[in-house]
Amino acid sequence: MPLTAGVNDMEYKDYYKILGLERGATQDEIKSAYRKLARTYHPDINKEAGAEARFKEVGEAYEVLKDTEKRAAYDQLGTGFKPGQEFRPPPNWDAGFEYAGASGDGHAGQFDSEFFETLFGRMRRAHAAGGGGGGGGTRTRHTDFNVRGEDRHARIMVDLRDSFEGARRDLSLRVPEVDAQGHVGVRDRTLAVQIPKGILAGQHIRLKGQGDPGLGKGEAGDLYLEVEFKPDPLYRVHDRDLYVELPVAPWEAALGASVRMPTPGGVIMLKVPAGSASGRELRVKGRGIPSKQPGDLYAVLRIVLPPASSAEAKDAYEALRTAAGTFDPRSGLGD
Amino acid sequence: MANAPRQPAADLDIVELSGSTTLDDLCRSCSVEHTWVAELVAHGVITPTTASGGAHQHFSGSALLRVRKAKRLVGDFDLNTAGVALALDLIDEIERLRARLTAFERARLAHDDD
Repeated sequence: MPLTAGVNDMEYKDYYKILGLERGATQDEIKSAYRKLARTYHPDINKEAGAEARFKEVGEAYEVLKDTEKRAAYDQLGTGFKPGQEFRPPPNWDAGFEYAGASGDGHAGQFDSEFFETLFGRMRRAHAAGGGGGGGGTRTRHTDFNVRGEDRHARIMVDLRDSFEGARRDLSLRVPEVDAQGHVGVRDRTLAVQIPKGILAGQHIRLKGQGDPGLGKGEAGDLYLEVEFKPDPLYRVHDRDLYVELPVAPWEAALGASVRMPTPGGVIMLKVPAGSASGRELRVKGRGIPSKQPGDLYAVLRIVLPPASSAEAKDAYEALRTAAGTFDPRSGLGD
Repeated sequence: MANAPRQPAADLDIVELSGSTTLDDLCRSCSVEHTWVAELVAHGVITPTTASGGAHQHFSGSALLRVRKAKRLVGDFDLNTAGVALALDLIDEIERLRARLTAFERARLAHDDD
């Protein structure tokens, strides 16, 4: 489900091109191209932005081309269209074609595509309501007139800051819809979602009744939003704990100091103990991601050397060498 | 999109990863059958949090999410239970390695600054 506003996609789609095939492709070639692309772009496998949209497009193309009758109907639309060109189906274009087969329960079968819904949606829905349906342990849904709507699953990217402060997001959803005349289309709607404070990457937010509408008296499905954090330039997140790299001068690490440190809740003064080595982790309790038991914030020290660019700085390094005596930073390497 | 009807904030709840759900609730929430959940347990895809078997089993929130993901993969790839178990294990492993790689790259970037 796209979470950004999309253009109205009532445009011609070249299903062959989407699968990287020629128009004359065999059913085996179609199946094989789909399987390969589905594995590549499946949103549970490919976490890259755009993978989910690509996966749906591929699924939509396959849904049509794998079925010889749908494919014949689609082919009949002709080759005169360019991808993206504005498209209206000819009147009664689908007369004489009978569709079978219900869509599965996975990501596929939810295409958000007005093109697809206009051409094939009515058939799919009529079939879903009329019973039948697939075997298989997980597909028991199409056996009754009162059918609970499909759950939907989407990913939502949030900033680390959103988890600290909570945030309100407007999600743009495209939902298939059947009007009183039985025509199928897609409708855009905006859903305001309150991102709860303390949300963690990997957690799911369940929005009751915001999935697909049910059939008959069936209740609507739920919408699940899987939360992911956008990469933060400063903080690395591990469960509820945060890690931030804190640069310190050699004398601050050696002698101890109070230094300014950023936290998502504002700047604090952190006490660096005397004799700290580079890489030392200092824990600031309770400054991680908020919760009843909030996470901790870890400052990872990194000693930054001032350049020996002036005569005074060179003298100071010389003096340090003398003062350090037999100090050997490589003593741990053996001889 | 500007003319899309605007709705008030939706009702939501967070699926707590450490929360607890009964076998019945798990099946209802994921629209799957008891027998399939039992298969997932047998293949080690999920583990009940309770020792007792049968209908009294409880599962964690993360098990619930795993069942949903398994169901998506089964639906989209025509996998059998052993196949989905393998796929989930590999996906987990990739995620672990990606996280390590990110940490490693950050450390190296910091080092290069020196």
